[in-house]
Amino acid sequence: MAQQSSVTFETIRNFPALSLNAVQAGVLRSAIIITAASKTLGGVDTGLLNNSKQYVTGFGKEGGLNDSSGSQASKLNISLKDNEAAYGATANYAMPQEFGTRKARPQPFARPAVAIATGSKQSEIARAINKEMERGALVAGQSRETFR
Amino acid sequence: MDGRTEVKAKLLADSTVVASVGTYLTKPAIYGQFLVPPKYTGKAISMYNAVPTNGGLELSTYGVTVNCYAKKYSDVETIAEAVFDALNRHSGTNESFFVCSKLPVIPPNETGEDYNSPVEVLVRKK
Repeated sequence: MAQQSSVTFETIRNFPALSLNAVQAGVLRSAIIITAASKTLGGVDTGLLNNSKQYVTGFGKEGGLNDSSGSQASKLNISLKDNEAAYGATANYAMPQEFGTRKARPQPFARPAVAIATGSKQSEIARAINKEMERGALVAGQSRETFR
Repeated sequence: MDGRTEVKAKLLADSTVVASVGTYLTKPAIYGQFLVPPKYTGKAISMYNAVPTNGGLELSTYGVTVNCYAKKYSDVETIAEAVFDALNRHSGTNESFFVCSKLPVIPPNETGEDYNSPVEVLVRKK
């Protein structure tokens, strides 16, 4: 019982670090799911739009962008806070593709992808917080060694 | 019955919305489909379903995006505001209820294209 109290105390004491870890993990997972889902949606012609669908985070993780070969896309240029992520597509015809024009039929890829990511029973962020709580407290100076 | 019928009926019944768009073949240019007729170049409204439909246990939710088109920024703003005011927190036919979000105006991508001001409408139905 005493040990249980001690663990609980440690968890609460380190909650800021623990919650930031969990939020970052959840935000990253959500960004990956949205990017992956959006790449399967919408039409493909030259591949530029699909190559440009990407996410960036405020904690140094990014992905989805394919600027290596073929139709080269540019990187999302946006400043974010520590616990934020952004998803977007940098191709110049991304907006007309998503929303359509009076002459061109829309082929939405971003909004359905977000709907897919948020449609699960529990949000990725809530899931990550629960997981982090189960793994116990981090002592000052320690960090998780798993993929994040 | 994917929400567009209710949205279109509500917009056609609103005199401010009808006055804000033009007429084509004597009818207001409000279309319950993706595209505007190619021969018509005036102010217009089209709509489509952009997100998955949620059947729900008690209420169904449909996501309808209403695109407002005009050559001028000020005109497209006027149409979008009229659409928002006509739909947001109002009831429609078939026991429906609308909740709206007005998105930023999208400028023309090419010369000859129109400004587009999308209004996202969540249609909840029994």
